[in-house]
Amino acid sequence: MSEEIRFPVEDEQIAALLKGLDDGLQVPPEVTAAWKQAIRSESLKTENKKPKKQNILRWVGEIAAALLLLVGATLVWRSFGNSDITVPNTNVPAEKASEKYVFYTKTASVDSALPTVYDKDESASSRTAADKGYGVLEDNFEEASDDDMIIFTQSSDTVLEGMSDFEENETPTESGFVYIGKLDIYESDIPRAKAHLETIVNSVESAYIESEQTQLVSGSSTVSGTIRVRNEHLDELTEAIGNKFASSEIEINRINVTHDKSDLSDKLQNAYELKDRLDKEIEFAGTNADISLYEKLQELLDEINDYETAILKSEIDLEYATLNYTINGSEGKTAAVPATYGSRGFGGFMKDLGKVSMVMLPVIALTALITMHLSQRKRKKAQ
Amino acid sequence: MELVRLAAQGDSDAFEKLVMPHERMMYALAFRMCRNAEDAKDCLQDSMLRIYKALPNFRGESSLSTWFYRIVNNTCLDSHRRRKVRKAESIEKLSQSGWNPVDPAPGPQQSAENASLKRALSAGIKTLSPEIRSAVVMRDIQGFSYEEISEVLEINIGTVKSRISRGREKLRGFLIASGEL
Repeated sequence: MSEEIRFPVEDEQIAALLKGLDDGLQVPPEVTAAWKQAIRSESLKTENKKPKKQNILRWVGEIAAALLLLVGATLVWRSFGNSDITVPNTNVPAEKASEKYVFYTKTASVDSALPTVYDKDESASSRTAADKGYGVLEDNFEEASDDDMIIFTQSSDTVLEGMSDFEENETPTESGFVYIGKLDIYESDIPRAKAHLETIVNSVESAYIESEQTQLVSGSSTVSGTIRVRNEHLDELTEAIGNKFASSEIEINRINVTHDKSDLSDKLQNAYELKDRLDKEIEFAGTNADISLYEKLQELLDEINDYETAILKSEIDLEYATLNYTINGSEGKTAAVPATYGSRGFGGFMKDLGKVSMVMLPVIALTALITMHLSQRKRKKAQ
Repeated sequence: MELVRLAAQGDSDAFEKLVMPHERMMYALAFRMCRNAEDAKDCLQDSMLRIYKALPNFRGESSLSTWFYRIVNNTCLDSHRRRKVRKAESIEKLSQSGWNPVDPAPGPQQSAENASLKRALSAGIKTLSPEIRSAVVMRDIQGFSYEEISEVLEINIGTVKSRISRGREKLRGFLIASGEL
């Protein structure tokens, strides 16, 4: 009978019994092979799951796509909002301007329009109307737009009728109307502009510079003056000015002064008649004439003098047009080179694209950052 | 450390070189922690895979071997929790349930008593709870220090000693009941 081995009942004894329990233990080859195979399989899986390197081109493509969307949206938006691309022509040729402002009234006779003090022959001026292109001016003529260099205004008393054909020797009735114009020239080189204007004035018959002065306004100099020219030569003058100065504005006002002239004449006539009566009274009174008569006579003579002066001035005004001119040193009203559709469109588009981009870029940047962060987290988790 | 770096990058050859020196000890732990050799094989394989995947995150706070054994122990515990391990009351019942302990050192010179004792010890170890078992196996069979066991099991040394003591006491009772003592 084999005796069973009895060990002392001690913890250390158990430990001693356990010690070396696995000394002969060897890992079976199939176990080793199994885990090695498993590792290799896992290694291959990991290789396939490795995140691809960031494709810079992919990012560039995405950014390009985003920009394309922005550009497209801006174009579409602008096409709806771009209603008028026509550029107004702010530089009306002078030849067109000169056709606008001259209108003649047609009356039964020249005499009826002239005051009695005038000699018809002296004040009348001949003119061929056909080649000047005079036309009908309606009472409610169209108001000149900003595009036009010539603006025609008229007083409420103006009576205008069309005169399509004149006999060559027939004198258009100009008496009763005065022409007062305003000329603005915009040139940076004022002395040169002055010289040119003088040349033009000297080249036009009957034209002359009545007065001129130079002023300094807000740091820039301005030359102003008055040009007088016979009515029949006003066209020629304005045309020459328009041709010479690209940046200029002319405004001609035609004022009917017939009533004023008539009124002056009547007053003068009355004054004459009163003077005649007073002369007779003084002659009759002789040396006993009251001093008050002499005082009244003096007042009357002064009055007559005033009337005659006024009438004389108005006669000149009737014959000579007045053009008050100003040469401005700034080019503020220079007609800008009309922007083409393309340049206006491109400039405006870039402004709009900038505005849209400024609004959208923070959103795009934030989206990109979040996407990158999520991608990185995903890659870490995969590891 | 170069080997660790390469293995962490997924180099399977480098990984094999890294773990091979520890394979036997790892297998021994798995062998003692699992029900049978087949489970031990699965446990070891799972452990290797876990180590391979977790190697990039190894921060070097413990030794590499300690870390390996920890993973093996945890893998076996996870496996144990997934299965209901019937507590065998005797070697006969263990055998009937399919337990077939591998004789770790079969040899012609081994006496019958030794073989019987070893079988009894193996059977007794199986009766221990996994937590106690790992402590006893690592201490008494594999020769780990209390500190090493503490690191592997992530428990303090006092708990390690307590578990070991309780394990030995249970084993003694089992051996007495089996007639080996």
